[in-house]
Amino acid sequence: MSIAKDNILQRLRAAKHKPSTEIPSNWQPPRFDKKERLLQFKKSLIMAHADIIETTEDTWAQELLKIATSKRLTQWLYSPDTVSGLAFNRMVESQPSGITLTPYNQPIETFKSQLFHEIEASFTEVKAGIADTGTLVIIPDKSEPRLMSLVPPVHVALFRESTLLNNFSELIEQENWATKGLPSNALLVSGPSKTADIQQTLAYGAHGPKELIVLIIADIKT
Amino acid sequence: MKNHFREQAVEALADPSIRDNFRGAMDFLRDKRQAAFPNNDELAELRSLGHQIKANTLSRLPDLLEQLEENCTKNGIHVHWAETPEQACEIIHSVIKQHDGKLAVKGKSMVSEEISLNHYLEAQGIEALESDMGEYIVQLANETPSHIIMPAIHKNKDQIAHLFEDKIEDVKYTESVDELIGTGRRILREKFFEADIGLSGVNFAVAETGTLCLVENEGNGRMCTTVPPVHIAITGIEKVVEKLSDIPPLLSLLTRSATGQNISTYFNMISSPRKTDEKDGPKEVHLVLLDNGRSRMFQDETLQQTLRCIRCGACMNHCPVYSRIGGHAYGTVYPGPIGQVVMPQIEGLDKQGEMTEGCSLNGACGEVCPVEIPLPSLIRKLREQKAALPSRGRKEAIAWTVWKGIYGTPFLYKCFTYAATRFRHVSPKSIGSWTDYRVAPKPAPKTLHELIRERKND
Repeated sequence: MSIAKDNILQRLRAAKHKPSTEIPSNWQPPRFDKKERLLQFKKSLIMAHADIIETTEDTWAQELLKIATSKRLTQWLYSPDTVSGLAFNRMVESQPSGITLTPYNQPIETFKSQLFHEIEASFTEVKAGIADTGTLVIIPDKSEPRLMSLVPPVHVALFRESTLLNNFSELIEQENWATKGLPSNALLVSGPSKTADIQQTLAYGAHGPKELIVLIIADIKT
Repeated sequence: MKNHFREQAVEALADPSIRDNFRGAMDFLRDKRQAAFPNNDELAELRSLGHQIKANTLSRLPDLLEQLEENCTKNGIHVHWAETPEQACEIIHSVIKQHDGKLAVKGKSMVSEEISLNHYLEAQGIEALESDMGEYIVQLANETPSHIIMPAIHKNKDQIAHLFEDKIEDVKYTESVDELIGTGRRILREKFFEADIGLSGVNFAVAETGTLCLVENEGNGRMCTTVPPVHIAITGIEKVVEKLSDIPPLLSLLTRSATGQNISTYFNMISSPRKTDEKDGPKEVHLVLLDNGRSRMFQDETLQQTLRCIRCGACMNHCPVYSRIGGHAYGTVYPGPIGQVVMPQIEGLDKQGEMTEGCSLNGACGEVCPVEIPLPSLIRKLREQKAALPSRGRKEAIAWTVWKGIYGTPFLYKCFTYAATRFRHVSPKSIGSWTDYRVAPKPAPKTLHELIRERKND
């Protein structure tokens, strides 16, 4: 065991006074009813400068293709391991569009140059949404690695209302992370990359995506 | 060497560009914070909860640090302990050396400023490049951050435009912020691409899960912790938090207090290096836990409250002194009210005691602190300790001894105040530096005791 560790812990343990922890609080994270929840989610995302497109299970792939063509984005990163990735691929192959889909199917070491210098946009799914803050919950894994939602200048994410939660605390409970442990990396993304470091002037696309586009599939009304 | 806060403050006050730049920035940040807390009751409850969570952490600090180490290790994160800045720099350097690292990209970390990591690595032939836009600007100008959240707040866009034109090849003068940021993006992207080491700070380290949490807007933090094959995080030992469920309220307090955002663009939870079937992420993750005086602060019942700090910067944004003199006048890593409490405790009152005087005890910092640190009381306590040092001047000592004699003897006090009020017209017109910029105060015609007696008789 390191000497530094011993010394630090010994000093901390020698302290005579421990802070009092008797501080009452009734704070509860915000909750919304079903209709409000989606409104709050969309409102927060728009305020953070994300683009949202409301679509359906049947039409989202077409919408995605439309985004690609209208923005003239031809080099796309996608996942061949997800249902939506495959659907995007089928859509692209169904008609001549000039779009190339590249899978993230190799380690970053051999893919870095292409990822940094050629890929213009990426398409991923999201695990869940958080209404309170207009947040996408992204859990990178082997199918959709960490850099997929970071390096490409445009990121399009597919979100389903059925996964929408009220707040961050609900996510932690739902995923049971406290007992199960967390995935290697878990991300809350709430808009495109931005900075106000120059004279408090907002600029988008500081280091991450310049544009974040969220395809929203609302629940079917019953 | 003693830090000369007074002289630096006077110099800063004479610089109109500092005053303009800070005035604009402080007004902006205060308004943003206020708008982010529309409901005062909710704010009060949330601050109490933040206070409770951090107090709970501190009450079990040594145990939680051990738990954090255990869980991080289980997750594959290497944990190192450093008592001093030198030890921390050596640990980081040795990890970089093992990997033969040449270029380290850095996410924003005030603790790395605390240990002067960039200079240390530079001396060892390793380039440590700041990648937060504000930090990048500050590094390019060979300066230090003037604010813990917005490091380049002391510069306006014209100044930054000139800086880029002078220091970066093939960049023309432009005041377009989008273009300036675009230049930073272009240059730093290549650095993320090349770097063999990523360095970062930590906002919260969760003991129960062994998770490092990072808060940021730009994405450079994610770049630094994901692209290079090795990620080294450094944090103060007070950043540990017991439970994952403690994080949502703390995060909400942090981003709303700091920049008035309900949440930052990115909240990055790192619990493990790249696993075998994963395609990216660092292959090694290291965590350096730094003490540097924190365990000493922990010994004092009152001053240990300093360690609740989550480094949001709201105290400096609301400080009338900071907003006039700016961050550099303090001459320390942490400026403003939290700096006035942290720095004398880290570096000693003999060196950093003077900065505790740069406070009007107006109380604004304590009122906005998201974890209810009673900053004005702590500053006052440090002033008391400083006044007890033998280092104070002879004039000051004599003045206070005479005053003590007068104030402690009712008869003498009565004579003194009687004389002061009756001979008010001959009170001195010049009283040292006070009258350099101001008119000398004139005593009232009657003493307070007399006025109260008169009121009672009415």
